[in-house]
Amino acid sequence: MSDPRLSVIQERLASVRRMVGVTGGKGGVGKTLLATTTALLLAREGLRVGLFDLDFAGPSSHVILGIEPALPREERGIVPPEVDGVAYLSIAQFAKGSLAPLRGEDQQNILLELLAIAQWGTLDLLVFDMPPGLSDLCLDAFRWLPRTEYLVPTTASPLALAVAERLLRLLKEQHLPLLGVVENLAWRESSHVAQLAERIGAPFLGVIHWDRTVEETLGHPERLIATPLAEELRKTILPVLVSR
Amino acid sequence: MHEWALAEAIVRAVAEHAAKERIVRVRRVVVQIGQMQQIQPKTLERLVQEVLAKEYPTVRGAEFLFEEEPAQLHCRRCGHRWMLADALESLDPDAREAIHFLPELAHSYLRCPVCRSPDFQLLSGRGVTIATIQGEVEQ
Ligand SMILES: Nc1ncnc2c1ncn2[C@@H]1O[C@H](COP(=O)(O)OP(=O)(O)O)[C@@H](O)[C@H]1O
Ligand SMILES: [Mg+2]
Ligand SMILES: [Zn+2]
Repeated sequence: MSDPRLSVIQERLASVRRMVGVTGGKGGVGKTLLATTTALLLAREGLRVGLFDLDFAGPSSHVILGIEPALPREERGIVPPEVDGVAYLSIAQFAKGSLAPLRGEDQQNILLELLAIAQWGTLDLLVFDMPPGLSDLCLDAFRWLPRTEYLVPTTASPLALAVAERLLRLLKEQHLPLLGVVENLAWRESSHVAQLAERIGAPFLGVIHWDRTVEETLGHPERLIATPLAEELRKTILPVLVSR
Repeated sequence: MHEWALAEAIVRAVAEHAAKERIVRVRRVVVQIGQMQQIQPKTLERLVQEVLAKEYPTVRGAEFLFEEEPAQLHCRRCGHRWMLADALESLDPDAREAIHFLPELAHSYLRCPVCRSPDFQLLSGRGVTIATIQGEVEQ
């Protein structure tokens, strides 16, 4: 018999206009920071925004938001609480600092359960902070969240580029919507990321520099959105999310 | 009640199955409730009826049976197998509540009784599943 949760996922997301997955393969390229900051900025543009931390093995967006995670309110499911104008959901809200390591099949169950019970309501945009690597969770997002459009940050390091290229080729081959590639953590001129985007046939959205001021704003959204990093996000990522 | 969301999932799954199998009237549905998720059968039953009151004519009037399924665990590290039994009762209410939402959080709060590993597998009794759907097929 089929899993009843599968029958309700599309219904739960029916009033979400767009879904954006921030993914990129390699860990440490800025997926979480860019996904979270982007969600905060979009909320300030007046959009109804959600942020769903899909990194069940290593959630960290709550640290950027500076919240003390607590169990969500229940109403016909669970209601993602509003944090700085963003409807927010993370495994950290359920596990309070003592999250045990989780096997792929457990992560898959968590994704399915949260998709089945989370009542996002009406949103212009739901942002997914995706885990590193091309793992089970990526594949589950492809099949259960087929409307998701992908944003791929990568650094110019050959190590990050190798992983990003593999992911980009997969997205292309599977005909999944690709919003574009951004170079992050730039500290010198380089055209490697732009060249990769061109080779793959993906839009290149621009460069986000290494911002030495950002680390001390983590946990303080008001200060984070006033950083040079946030300014660069307004110019590179925001236009493709606000325009359509 | 977060169970409402699961009740709706059950009803939709039954209705989808009925449509696919050309069942015009569902007679009987057996739902299994895994012990780990700590859902009261009475609660789920009430919520299923609440969902059915609005929509889903092919499913309305069906008899719903709710069976509790014991949770069986298997340690991946030492191979020990055991039944959950009343292990949840000693946990604090927040931990129980977290497992009630997401049974996988059991890994954060329970350990293998033999080797203390959190790397155990839930063989059965996780959450809500549909075991049987019976009804009258279109002639
Ligand atoms: N443009 C940037 N400037 C400065 N620090 C950054 C920038 N992008 C990311 N970081 C920092 O780099 C680290 C890794 O970023 P993170 O978002 O956790 O990466 P990922 O989610 O891809 O693993 C974090 O400490 C983050 O604050
Ligand atoms: Mg991350
Ligand atoms: Zn063991």
